[in-house]
Amino acid sequence: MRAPGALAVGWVLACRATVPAGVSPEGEPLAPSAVAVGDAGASAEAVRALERRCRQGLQEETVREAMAALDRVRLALGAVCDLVPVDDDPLHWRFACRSDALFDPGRYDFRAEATAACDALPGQGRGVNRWVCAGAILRGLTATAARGGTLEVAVIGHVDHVQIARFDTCPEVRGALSFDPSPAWVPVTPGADADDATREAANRELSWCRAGNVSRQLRCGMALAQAGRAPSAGGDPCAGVPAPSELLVTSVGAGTRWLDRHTQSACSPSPSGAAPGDCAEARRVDVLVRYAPATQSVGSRCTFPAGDSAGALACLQQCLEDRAARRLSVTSQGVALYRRCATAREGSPEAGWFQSVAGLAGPCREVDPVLVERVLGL
Amino acid sequence: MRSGAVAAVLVLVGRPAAALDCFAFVSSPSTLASSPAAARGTTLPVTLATVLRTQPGCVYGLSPDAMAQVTPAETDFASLALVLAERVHAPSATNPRSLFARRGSGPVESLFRESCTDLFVADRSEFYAHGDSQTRLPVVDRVHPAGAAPPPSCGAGRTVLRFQPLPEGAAAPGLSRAPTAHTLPTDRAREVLDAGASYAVYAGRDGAEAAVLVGRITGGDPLTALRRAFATPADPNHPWFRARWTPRSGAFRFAPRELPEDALAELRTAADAGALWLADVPSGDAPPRVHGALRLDDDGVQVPDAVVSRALSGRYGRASNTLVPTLDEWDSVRRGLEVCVTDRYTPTPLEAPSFVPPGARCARLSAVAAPVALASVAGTGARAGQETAPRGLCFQRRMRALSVGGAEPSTALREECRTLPSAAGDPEGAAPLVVAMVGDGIAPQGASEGLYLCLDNDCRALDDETSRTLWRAGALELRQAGSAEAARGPQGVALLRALVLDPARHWVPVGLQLGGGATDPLRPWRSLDHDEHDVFAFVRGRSALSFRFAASPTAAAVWNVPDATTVLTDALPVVGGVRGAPAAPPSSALVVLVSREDRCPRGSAAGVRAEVPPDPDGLLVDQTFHAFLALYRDDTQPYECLARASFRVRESRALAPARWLHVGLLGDVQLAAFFTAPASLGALLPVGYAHARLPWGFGLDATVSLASAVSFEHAQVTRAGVGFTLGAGWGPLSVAPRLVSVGLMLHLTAGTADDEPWFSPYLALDLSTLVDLAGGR
Repeated sequence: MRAPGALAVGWVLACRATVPAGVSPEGEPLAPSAVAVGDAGASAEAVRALERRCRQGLQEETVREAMAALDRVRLALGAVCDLVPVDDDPLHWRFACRSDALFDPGRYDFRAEATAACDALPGQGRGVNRWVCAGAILRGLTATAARGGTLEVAVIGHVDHVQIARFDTCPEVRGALSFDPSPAWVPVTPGADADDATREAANRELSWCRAGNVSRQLRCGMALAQAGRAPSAGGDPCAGVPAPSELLVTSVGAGTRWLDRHTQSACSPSPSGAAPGDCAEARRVDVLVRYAPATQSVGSRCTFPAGDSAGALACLQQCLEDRAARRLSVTSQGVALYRRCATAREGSPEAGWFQSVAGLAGPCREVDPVLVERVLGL
Repeated sequence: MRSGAVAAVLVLVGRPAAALDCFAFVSSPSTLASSPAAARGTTLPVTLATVLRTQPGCVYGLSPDAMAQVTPAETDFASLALVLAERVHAPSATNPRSLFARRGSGPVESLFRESCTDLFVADRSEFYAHGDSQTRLPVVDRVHPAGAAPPPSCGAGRTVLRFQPLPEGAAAPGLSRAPTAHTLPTDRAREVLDAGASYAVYAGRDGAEAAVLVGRITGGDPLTALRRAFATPADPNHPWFRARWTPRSGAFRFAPRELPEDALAELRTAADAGALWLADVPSGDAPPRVHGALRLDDDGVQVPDAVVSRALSGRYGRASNTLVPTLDEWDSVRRGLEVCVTDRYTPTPLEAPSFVPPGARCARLSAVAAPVALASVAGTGARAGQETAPRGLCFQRRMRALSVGGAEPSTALREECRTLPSAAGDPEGAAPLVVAMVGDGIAPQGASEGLYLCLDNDCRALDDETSRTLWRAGALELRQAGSAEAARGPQGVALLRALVLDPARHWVPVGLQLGGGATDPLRPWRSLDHDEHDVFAFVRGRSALSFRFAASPTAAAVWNVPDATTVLTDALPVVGGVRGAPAAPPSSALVVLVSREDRCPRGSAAGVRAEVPPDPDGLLVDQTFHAFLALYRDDTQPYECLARASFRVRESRALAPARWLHVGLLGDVQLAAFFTAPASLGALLPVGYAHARLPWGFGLDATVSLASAVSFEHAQVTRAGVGFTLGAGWGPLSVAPRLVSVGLMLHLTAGTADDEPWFSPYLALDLSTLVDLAGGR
């Protein structure tokens, strides 16, 4: 307490001592944020792969050799087959063959005319099945070590409504291709009291047997060429020959799908003496062949060092411009014949189809049914 | 050609190995036709330049199943095919590669067009179709011009190319004899085509009208996969980018997700090559500004710090340095940017331009990036597990009572919880900011891993116990980050914001009387004159209820966003006695409410504001009242009291030598009854006094007073003069403190009569109090 004498002075001072103004209590500085910098740098290798894939369709040498092989295959197959590129892809083809020229009505074993000499196999003077010869020629396409690659094949057999008198369910073909349909196929034997439904079913099964037989011969030819062996005389020409490692083949029995999808005007009038049936054009075998060169072997015209992003993009652009300038169609990059399996489809293909796959190891792949239906007009 | 010359030509060119019955070769057969394989064949290859002769007695067709007779003549593949097509099929529907023939019932034989003819424009072997490097016009060159070595093959030297313009989407007929806009004759090396046009390319024998389709040519730049993606309208269901949180970088990244694989690879490489830029969305006529090359790493696209800072700075000003964007603000960043790709790749890395150049293709992130969502933040990275997402945060709040020692929390606990937004645009993200006090508790709901509480960028992990109490004032952000350091980065995400105040520091009294001690600018209440430690002096006639508010710049910026309905200002209005609310400017978010009661005023804010608050100058000495620092949301909600300060009215002419003792001049006039003879009734005017305050309204007084009384017996003046009193008083504090007092008065100048007493016990009634009770002075 102050002295009493100071009270008056203190009182006067106290009356004047109010807080003059507020003082901000915030005095500390605010620290700026740290700056986070991320890493950058993606590899240009993926773009290099794109360029290789682009150039895959522009590889003049590859395409030229493939086309030359095709011409040889056409020579080997004779006049019965026409050839059409698929989507103008120079490495994707369709052989459209009249099955009447290959098979007798109601049968899946080849006619005698389906045999010819083949210079693609040892002992070329000896007659071999034309499809064996075709397989041997196609094997030469993939045999080039620098190019490599694989062949993707789909053989689609079609029938019309020929009345079948005899059908043994082609056990040797199914055995060779490990095709075990379910439910089991029922043979039709002469004299047996087979009903119309059984005969019709056999007719559809016949479409697979013909496709399977063509597949078997193609595989055989490739295997023989790979092994450098001449086909054995008599019996199975490919007995004891290991399956080719670079062939993926699917056999499809499309039944009467082609006939069902086309109008009667697509069928020529049956000449006298022709095999009984509805439509000769519908009795056919279509073979889709796609050659997929190994991407690694595709060279680049660009010489930028690995990892050069700008260079890789410029090269890709250049290839695309080249391709655009020379393209055969908007889809000239090529359409894949096979796709990664959506489900296990063995034995349960598209409705009404019989289908079996044989060939390459690795991830499950299946023929793209949409592509097949589009290309064949099914 | 005359038949006489045929034999000579055959001798010169050699016969095919196989002689077909219905096709006779005149000139230029395919070399393959001479191969041994053709010797036994039923089909032979031809080129488009091969001249052949149809034979009498044979039928011909494009299919073995449809043949017809034709007039024997020299022809070529295209001409015969066209004749057959016109006769049997529509020529536009066919692009024949084989011709079939049969004599009678003999075997079918065929010619097929050698595959090299399909490569005329797809291979450089004979023709080279490409874009001119200078003009970029499509051109077609003969690889082996006339007279040059080596000579052409596949009959190309005798083949003419014709280029028919092809409208977009139109199908080219497989055979044609129509005149064409461009022709590459056998004696010319190059044909230049028109820019941007598409052509069907036909090849035919030199001198013949008919030609077959061998390909198409399209001019102009092709689109790479990425440029095609840029040129295609974005599909909102399949955005290219998805925002995701990357603990490694502690940042939001727009990760490419649903781009086609080709485009994705190109995107990554283009980013490395500096060919992708991040730019502003265009506004106005000026070209958009480029923010530099787009950086793309394994985690995705990183928005440059400068862009994030700019977006925050536009909203928060300088305070943005200590903030990170919320989900909504990240989405705003997304909507303001676009990704651009250069019009053409170059072999050398590009420098990002300042503005988007003409020709570049841009895609707005708002179109190609999914809106920012918390699910995509929490569902990835290190916090993938059982409970990956934080759900909310609860504030355990208590009102503060201000004292000279600080701000003491009240016992009443109020928990206020906020649900964290899960995506940009969620209502939770727009919830009003919580205002909490330093020392309030925090309780996370859900996972707390990877979450940090940051107060003005001072960050602590939420699962650290020290963060469970708000440790300082400022703008609070609940941030997601991989580390405390990353939490302080500018690219994090703030899942929640709040304001944390310290009323002892931020609520600044400016009109109250200071005590005798040193002032503390950071603790302004500590310097105030006070009675008890939590009751401050309000000197009647001298003190004023005037307050200011001070907070961190960040806290103020967080509140005072452009669309805020209330504002934080440095002035704290004492509200009351006003009805209605102005439409503009926005009301102050913090106000001061004055009440005689120590409870926060209840009722809606509009109702409370309409009441007239007590006037401290009209209160009696020693009466108390309370001021509340309150938060105003809107008129429908009650004020939310954050802190309370209590005051006691003090005389204006008094000093407080001790907290319990007041010494002053000219005290209240009192009506006094003196009980010693002569009993009398009079008045006391304290000239100087000392008042010691006791509990429950009691007090002790010592005064030097002027006294004057009138005797009841003789009706004469008695006790007139100066006296010294000692007394004890009492009065109900809330109504009439110091109402009555009893005491003993020592009369120093006791009048003129001899019978005047020296001492007089008395009972006094404070007249000033009575006047105040009656309505004031």
